[in-house]
Amino acid sequence: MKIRINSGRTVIQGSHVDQKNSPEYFRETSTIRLNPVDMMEIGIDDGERIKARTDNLSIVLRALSDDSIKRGTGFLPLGPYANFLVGGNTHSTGMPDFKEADADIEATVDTITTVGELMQQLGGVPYRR
Amino acid sequence: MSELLIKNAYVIDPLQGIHGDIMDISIRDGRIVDKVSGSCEVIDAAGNLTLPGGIDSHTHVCGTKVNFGRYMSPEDMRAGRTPRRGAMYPTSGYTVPTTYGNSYRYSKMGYTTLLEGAMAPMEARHTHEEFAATPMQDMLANTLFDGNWSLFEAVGDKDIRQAAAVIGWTLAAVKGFGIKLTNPGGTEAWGFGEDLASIDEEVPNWDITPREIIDTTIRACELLHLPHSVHLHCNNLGMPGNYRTTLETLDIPGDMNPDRQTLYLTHVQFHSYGGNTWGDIKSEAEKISDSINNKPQVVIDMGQVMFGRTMTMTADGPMEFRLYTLHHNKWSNHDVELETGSGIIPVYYSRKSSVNSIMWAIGLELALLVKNPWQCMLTTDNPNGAPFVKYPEIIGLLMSNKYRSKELSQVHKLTTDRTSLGSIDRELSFEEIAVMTRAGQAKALGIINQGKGHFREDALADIAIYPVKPDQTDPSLQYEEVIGAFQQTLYTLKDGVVVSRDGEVITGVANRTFWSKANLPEDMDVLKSPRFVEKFSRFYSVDLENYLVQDEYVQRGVAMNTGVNS
Amino acid sequence: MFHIEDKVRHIVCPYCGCLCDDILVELTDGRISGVENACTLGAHKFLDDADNRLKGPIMRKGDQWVDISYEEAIAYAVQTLSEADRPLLYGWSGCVTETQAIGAHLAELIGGVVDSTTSVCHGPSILAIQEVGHPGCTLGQVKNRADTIIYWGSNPIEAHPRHLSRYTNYADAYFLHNAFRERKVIVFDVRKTATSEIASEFVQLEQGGDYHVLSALRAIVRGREDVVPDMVAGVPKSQLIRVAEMCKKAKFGALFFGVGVTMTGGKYKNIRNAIEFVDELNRHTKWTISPMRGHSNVYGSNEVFTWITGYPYAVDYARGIAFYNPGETTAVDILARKEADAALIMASDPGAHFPRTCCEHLAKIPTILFDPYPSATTHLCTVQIPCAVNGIDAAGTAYRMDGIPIRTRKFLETGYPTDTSLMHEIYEQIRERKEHV
Repeated sequence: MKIRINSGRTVIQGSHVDQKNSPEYFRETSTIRLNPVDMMEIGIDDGERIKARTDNLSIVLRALSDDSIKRGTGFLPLGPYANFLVGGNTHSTGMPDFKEADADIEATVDTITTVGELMQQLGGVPYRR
Repeated sequence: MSELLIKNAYVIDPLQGIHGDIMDISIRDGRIVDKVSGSCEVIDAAGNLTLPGGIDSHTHVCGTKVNFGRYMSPEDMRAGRTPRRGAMYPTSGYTVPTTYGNSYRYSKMGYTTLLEGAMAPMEARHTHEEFAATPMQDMLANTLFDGNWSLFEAVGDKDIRQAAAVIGWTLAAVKGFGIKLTNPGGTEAWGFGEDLASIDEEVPNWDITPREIIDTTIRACELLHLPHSVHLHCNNLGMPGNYRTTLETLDIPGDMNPDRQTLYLTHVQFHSYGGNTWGDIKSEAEKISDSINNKPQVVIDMGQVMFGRTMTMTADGPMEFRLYTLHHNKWSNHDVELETGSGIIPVYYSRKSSVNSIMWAIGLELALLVKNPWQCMLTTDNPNGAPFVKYPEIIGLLMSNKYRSKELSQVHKLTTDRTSLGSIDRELSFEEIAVMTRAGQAKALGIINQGKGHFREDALADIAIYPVKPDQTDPSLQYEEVIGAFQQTLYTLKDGVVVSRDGEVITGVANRTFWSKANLPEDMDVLKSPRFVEKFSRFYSVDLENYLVQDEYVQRGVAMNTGVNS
Repeated sequence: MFHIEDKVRHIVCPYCGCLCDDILVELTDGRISGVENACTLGAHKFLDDADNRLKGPIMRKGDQWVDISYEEAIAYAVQTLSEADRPLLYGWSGCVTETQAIGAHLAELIGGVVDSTTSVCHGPSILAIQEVGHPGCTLGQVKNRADTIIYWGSNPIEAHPRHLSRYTNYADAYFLHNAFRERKVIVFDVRKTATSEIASEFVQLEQGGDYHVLSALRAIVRGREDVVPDMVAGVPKSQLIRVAEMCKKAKFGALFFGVGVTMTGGKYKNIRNAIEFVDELNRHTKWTISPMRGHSNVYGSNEVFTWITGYPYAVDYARGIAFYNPGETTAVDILARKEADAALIMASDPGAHFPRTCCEHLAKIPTILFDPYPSATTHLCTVQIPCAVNGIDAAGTAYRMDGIPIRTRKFLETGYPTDTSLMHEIYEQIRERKEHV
């Protein structure tokens, strides 16, 4: 299913910006809110996982049903998971398409990577102290 | 101990009555002294014009709206870029240059002291941060009171002492120098999108008029013995027919101070318009200058307009909105709660425009028709009328009737009918220019005793040596050489150090900030007034404790002690 | 056991662009034990601070992390930045203007690019302002006068939680008798949010439809509702007419917009349209417009860079003069083009907030991170240098979202060096090195 992913601040995300490696930040920024009907269509329940794919890159996210979300859209709090789906083109404005990531989503049983692991995928070395 | 001798200087020092003598100037540790030892460093001025460092008594160079002018104008930044050169940082900008751009270009023109014309108290830290990055000049900040609610209450109560208490506290709290009123009452009215059409119209929601604000503030200023008088941007700036407002305003103050004027009217060019519409606008510079010629208690500055692109910026928010509805150019506005307003729009003054040409002529008329140069300072209200780099051309226009006539023939033809410029043949002398660019400013600002504007013993050794020999030059004919000379000094000295030479800034010295510290008796302590303190707890959006400007922002501050006689 | 307890008042919260300056912090035995007046975001900033700090500088060696001294970290920064051909100096929004100023001068000294987080938040707003200007005001002006408030693409209850209570809906007003009852709040958003719940009028538009809706509103205010179709980006015309009427009837209106409008669709063209809508309303009554700036001192970075370089962000000194071309000289573009060969990241977290391709490039080049806490960028950088936290154990100037400069307060002594002193040291060492080459 194709959806357009919006991102933005939430209180939990915002409260943990100085703790990017905490379980709270991890849980909040890797959780996507979806319309319940869309979730039914791809066959997942609250708390189950989806794989979101753009440009041959995919990321696993936890799904949460939220009937304030319009069908065909999703809301993912801002952070490394949301930005994993964003490309580097700014259309000569300096600003990437942060709130307009078009992704294919499907149900998955794969696990969600931590922030450190995600950065490792991008070429970094996880710091764990 | 460092010593320096300037030999063979053609000195004009109006405050000392030196009218062009070839003489030597001795400097020790940054100050003028009687003599120095024979072995010290010597600069040979070779008969060139040598003046005290230039002082600009009304310019916009630092602070919130100046910086917003830069921020919104990359096209202007591109128009004046220089790379790093020696001690000079790179600069950007033409009409609103970066702080270093302003500072280097003023220094190259021999200026060592600048008064920022409009600082909102609540945004004072910003002004002081930029002062620190304007290293070649000593700085002063006129502080805006035109919409100050605590002052309004004192005006409403007809309580001059309370008005003085509010002003004295505020200047010390924000490290301000003098009182600036910009469209008094009008900036408050603009809070709800209104303006005032006369000095007797009531300020909406406040039971007071601009006339009462001006009168009370002048009396409070004198009660406080502030170095500078009230510095007023009149109501109705830029409106055809506004000369009536200006004349009424000129009639407000009596002569209350023996050392300086009682009222300083700024950029009077913008306030000397007759007619009723843009179609029939004409000069009323003669009526305005007649009034000034009869009022020794008033000093003005020109606010000269020069042709080309510039940026208008003022605390007068409603005026800028009117300008926006005329030009449809980009418009910025920034009201400051409980205090004042501001607006910015870029303009292009064209010699093909009748209105712009008449404005250009009015500024010159004022400078030529005001008889006493001590009553008329040379400014463009930088950058409103033109960027300050145009000052030398203005000097040329004032010193040469020939140049003026040539220029007049190039502007819109209505200018000849609607102004008297063509019939004025006065040509100003070097001495008169010296008064209008430094000595008069030092007197008007009240900073003679701080060692500014003269070469008396113990004065600050701020000196400008211009490449022109007055006794061998006829400015009337050789105006181009005069203009060139004022564009670039041979030497600019600040605090006895050569900071700029042949247009290159070669070093910096730590600049100062002059501010007014009013020492007030206990009954004038505003912090004991619940009504005053309540402004901060209920209506300002910052705490009183975080409003006060900390000493970190005036690390080289010079507190000018003033106060109320008890 | 004896406890030393203390309360410090008028503390300035260093979290968001609201820069609330009425925070009370309680200290017990030199640790923050309580916070009053702050919102959830601010309270976490203060209360969680001590346990989150990185103890000292760290360096990546192969696939290991080792502790290094501050001297070693500075030496690494000096060498890396001196030898770089295309250094990027990015971030700056969480530190004080005194540090930002050194950043701008350092960029000039090494011929680098200096950019702040502006480019990925309100950069498009600045581009729009450079086209059409900005009719704004201070927040207290809104508080005392506004009877109509619009939040557009902005969810202050979660992003700037005290904005409504300090400056708008719930704040005391000088000119309104019963401010809370007399004020109307209009929310424009693509989704229901905590803020839309409290709105007197909620306009839900389709994602990417801001430009259309603004154009329709401008047409209606100009008296040309005849050109507006029955539905505009999911919004019924009747609602737009009602909202336009509310706007014209306001005595003082204030429009606040968030990154919901800067990041989508036409980006800066959305903002330009919003500004021109406000320009139009000013022909009828008083209106102002203001961006909801995110970081505590992101506006300070724009101010400082402007007075030093001439431009608010994205300044490139590669050719000796200040050159500005957002879209080319902005951090995301420089990294996405894989152009930077070294990066200094000050007080921000591109690892969490940049597109993946930019993060990949940061992981490849020497990246020096100044941050008190381990962040997402920590895993990508080569060296991280922890410094004192502005507003807790460091003080300096910060500019509120409306341009009001406030001095943050230092109330703890921790021994961490400030970013100002570290940057000063790096600048001086590089300057000396250049003089001896």
